[in-house]
Amino acid sequence: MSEFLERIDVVDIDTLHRDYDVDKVIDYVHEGIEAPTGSYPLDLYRKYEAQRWNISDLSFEEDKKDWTDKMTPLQRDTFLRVATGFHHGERQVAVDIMPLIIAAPKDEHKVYMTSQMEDEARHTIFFDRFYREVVGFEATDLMDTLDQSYQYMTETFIGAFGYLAYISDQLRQRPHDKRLLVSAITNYHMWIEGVLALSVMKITLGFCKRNQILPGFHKGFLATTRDESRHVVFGMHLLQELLADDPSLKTAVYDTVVTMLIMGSTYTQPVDYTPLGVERDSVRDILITNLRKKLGMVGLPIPPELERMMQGVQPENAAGG
Amino acid sequence: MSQLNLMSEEWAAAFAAEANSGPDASRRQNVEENYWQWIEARKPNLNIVLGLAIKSDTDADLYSYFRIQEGVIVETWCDKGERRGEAQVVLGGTAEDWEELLRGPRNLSQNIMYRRLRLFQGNLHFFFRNIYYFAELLRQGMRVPAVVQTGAGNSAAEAAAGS
Repeated sequence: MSEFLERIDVVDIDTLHRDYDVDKVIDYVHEGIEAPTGSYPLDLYRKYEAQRWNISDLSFEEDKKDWTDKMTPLQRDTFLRVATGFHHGERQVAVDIMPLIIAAPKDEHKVYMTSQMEDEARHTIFFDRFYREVVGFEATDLMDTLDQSYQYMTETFIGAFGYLAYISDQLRQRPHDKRLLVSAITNYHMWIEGVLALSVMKITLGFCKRNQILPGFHKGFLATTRDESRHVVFGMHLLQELLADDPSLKTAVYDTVVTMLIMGSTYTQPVDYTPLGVERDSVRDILITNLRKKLGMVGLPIPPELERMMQGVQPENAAGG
Repeated sequence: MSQLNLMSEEWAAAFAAEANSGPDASRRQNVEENYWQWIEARKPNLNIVLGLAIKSDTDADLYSYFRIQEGVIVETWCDKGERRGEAQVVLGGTAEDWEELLRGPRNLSQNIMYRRLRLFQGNLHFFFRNIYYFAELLRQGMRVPAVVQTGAGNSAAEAAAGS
């Protein structure tokens, strides 16, 4: 990894916002993966300590002006259709991660995952502030903001995120079931965070950087992207570890990816990405590339049938968490 | 139509008729055609018994069952859980959950995410590989006006008398 990318580890979020763009942070996610060592959960926990940031440090004053003065109604609508999947996604993962922590095999895994839970809660607050202070929602509480932003969601969101809600329910009841744990990590860390989320980040953050607008959103969401990179690295390492201990669990990864692809092969309302300067097919390419890289990270080949299914994934399913 | 008791024989029959009649015109129009095609493509493999349940902390659970052949409901019945073992999929919630599912304010998709409707029995992959079929079946069936009953008392007349 280049020195420039390595510095992402240590820069504050003002420097991250000023000197880096989303493509660099995504490269950092993929190039930062190394063979897991026994200390990776605590190494990542220490990174969390160094990289943690506060929502209260962000200002959305400029964003509020940009939202009304520099963005067209079409751009605002598309931006919300893309970003809202992340707003709801963050809430879902913040709520559903607890059973995964209980089911994680070692205390080191559990300790790291508490930092991930705090990240997800903080990201939920980040979006809550954005919708209130920039988009202009008048909300009584977190759920009220979510209820108001729901109008921008694609209904097929219940696929990947419903699966997370239901598998975390099962994992809560059977925390020693390794197949359930592998499936939950594949759904959460590989698909939601490693495939869907990175796509939303690329679309929205790329738009902000190219047009030099929404600085508060760019700063907070790029910092979110760096947080997510720790999550993805942890998830892929834990999967590698679990599959090495019991290779028969590989089928749980494939089964889950197939389920995600079947659910992700349709949508209820189309999204026109062009107001944000992105072509629909390029979003699909991003999703496919992200999945290919994640499967590669855990050392799983892509059989022809899976390859065929990957080509059918629909961009509207991009969301985050 | 008067309100029927949820999980009563009358309600289950009315649910089946609505579910088999498909989406209403506005729903059909407001959702992309590829979504309906996705659902149609799954129907040939949907040969199951679906159970819906009102769950309680006591032994007063109530069940309705729907025998589904190639995506179409062909038989319904109700009990207090004695034939639950015949169902490949059992979905349910508490009486409070069903109140929310029937009357909102949140819609069915949100309520699935928020676990107002839980999978009590069945294979997770099977359920989610057919998730939009199940979501639309429920959306259509829940067009039937219903009140949530708990414990004994299964007739439409009782529901009407109480409303």
